[in-house]
Amino acid sequence: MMLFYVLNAEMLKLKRTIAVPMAVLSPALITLFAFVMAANAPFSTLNRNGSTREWATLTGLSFLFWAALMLPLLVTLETALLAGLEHSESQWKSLLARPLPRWNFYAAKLLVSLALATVSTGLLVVGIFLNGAVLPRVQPELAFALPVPWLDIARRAADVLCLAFLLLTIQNWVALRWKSFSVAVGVGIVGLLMGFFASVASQQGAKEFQFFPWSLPMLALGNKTSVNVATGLKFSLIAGTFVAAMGCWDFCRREVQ
Amino acid sequence: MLGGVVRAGASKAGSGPIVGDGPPTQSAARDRDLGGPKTGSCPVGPSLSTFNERQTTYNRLSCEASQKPTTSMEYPILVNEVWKSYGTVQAVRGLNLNVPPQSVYGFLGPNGAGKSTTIRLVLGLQRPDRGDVYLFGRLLARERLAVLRRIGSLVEAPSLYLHLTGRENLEIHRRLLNLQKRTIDEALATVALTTAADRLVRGYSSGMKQRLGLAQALLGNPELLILDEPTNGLDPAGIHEVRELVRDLPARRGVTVFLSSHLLSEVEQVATHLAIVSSGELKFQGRRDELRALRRPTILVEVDDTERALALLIGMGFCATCQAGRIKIALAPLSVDLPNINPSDINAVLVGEGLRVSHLSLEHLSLEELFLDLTRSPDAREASV
Repeated sequence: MMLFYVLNAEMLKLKRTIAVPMAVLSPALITLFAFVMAANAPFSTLNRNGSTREWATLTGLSFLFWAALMLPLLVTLETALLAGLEHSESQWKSLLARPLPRWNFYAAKLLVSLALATVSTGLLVVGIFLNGAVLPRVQPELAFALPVPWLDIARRAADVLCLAFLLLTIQNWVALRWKSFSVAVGVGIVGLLMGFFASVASQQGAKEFQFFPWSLPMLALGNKTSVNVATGLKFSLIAGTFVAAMGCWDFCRREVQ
Repeated sequence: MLGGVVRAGASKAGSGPIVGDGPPTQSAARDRDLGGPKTGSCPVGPSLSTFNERQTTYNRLSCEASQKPTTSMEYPILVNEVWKSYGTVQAVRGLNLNVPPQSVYGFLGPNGAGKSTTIRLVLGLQRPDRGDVYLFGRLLARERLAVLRRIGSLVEAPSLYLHLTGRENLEIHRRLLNLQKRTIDEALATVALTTAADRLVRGYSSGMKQRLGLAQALLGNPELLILDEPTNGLDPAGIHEVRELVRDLPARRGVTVFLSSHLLSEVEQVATHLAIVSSGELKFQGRRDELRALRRPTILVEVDDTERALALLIGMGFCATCQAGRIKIALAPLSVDLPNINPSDINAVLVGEGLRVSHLSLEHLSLEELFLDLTRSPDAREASV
């Protein structure tokens, strides 16, 4: 019940911040990017080699950019922004002097970040549907077959989101642990770059690199060299829960300066 | 309520072990502050040493019976032998505080004295290395949530969300405390911010932010209000408003106010009780009039040969210093029962030694001077002798 009070307060804190606009703008950019690519060169992007699986290709293309770049970046910025709301005016001394368990504040930040990532990913799914509806009108070569494979698309979105859970818990902990905005953003950017190199390394056969937190979401893309997505999901959820628990423990025992 | 000048470590000497998890009894708290041999800090003369010894051992129970809590359960704050360090820096050293209910308790000390650390310890934002904090008779470490429900606080600068309005800032805390909506209007009215409530806090003046911080602390009608330097950044009118608000709270709402400041003049006007800390140690705790009673009378002397007169007086055991060509002889506090020293006797001694006395007067140390005297470091005190 007390967690609900804290979550309720967290929602109000988002007012007039760029947290919600960022969560909307990120999938919108990916949608636009995929649209421009497919509209200008449909044969090199969606119906490569005369493929008629436009829905699957469009979904793969959208989630490639989402999982590899935009989602990790969004999570980095959202967690840093949410934590920065409390760090900037030394809010902790006011909040943690309230009669509420400390873990509530940690959990609320994590849940709000997760909710924003979920909303964003959901909007990307909507964007994929929109692209599928609009692209045939501007590019008659593209024929998006009906019925829309919405279950496949939704499953892919859920996979990406769950695979990103580990990096989200890491970013949440880093953002709440260190007052400096640049530490949280720095960790996110370095993680993103390392994730790219880890993906390349994993495609060269070093499969263990696929478990690097920032490259985990790319497992959902179904690359041939990828390990089983289910294994990646288990790893992300278990390791993410562990990181969240450790971060929460650290947050609860830390003294407020 | 325990009153009087307290020496660091003095409280340890007479303290019995506190058994179990219950708060220490009042008699235990009294014993704790009464006990222990003490030594003087002034390095000159036997009678001076006696004076300092008397001064440092001056501890007595002084609350009026009507104000005296019958058990420690009634103390809104009871800090029991608390120590806190940051690395090698000892921020709080064996601090004992007893805050009586419905008092305005002024917590004074210079910057870096350990006031904010103490407040953080009392609010459970930090943990003491040793010792216990009891709030309303409950051990904070065990029952943090239960006791924090009864407390409102403003620690240093107010913590506000600048991108939200004043009302929205209060709404966040209302949601956290699950209070009724009308409590926001009440708090805004109390700090006279109703008309500015729907403006973004980013556009508030320092004084308005401070008042909004106070409103945040008042939300939910707390029984104990902990205010750390609440008049920081306020103009004289704002300081006056806060002072009036704080002064009225115990009578109007039955609130106990714990008010920290580095300015004696600010606290002295509203506080019913005072504690003075310096370098993490408690130097005085008691009622305001008890502090006043500690003002030391001094004798000011002007003679033709200051150096010889000073040596003579120090040789006789007086705590004499030379300032701007004048000799200042510090006597025992009014409240300490030492044999009176008649200024005419000093005059006779000086004249008898062939010194020409051009000025001799009996003066009293101001509260400000007393505060400085209590909070001055031992090194500085020695240097001034």
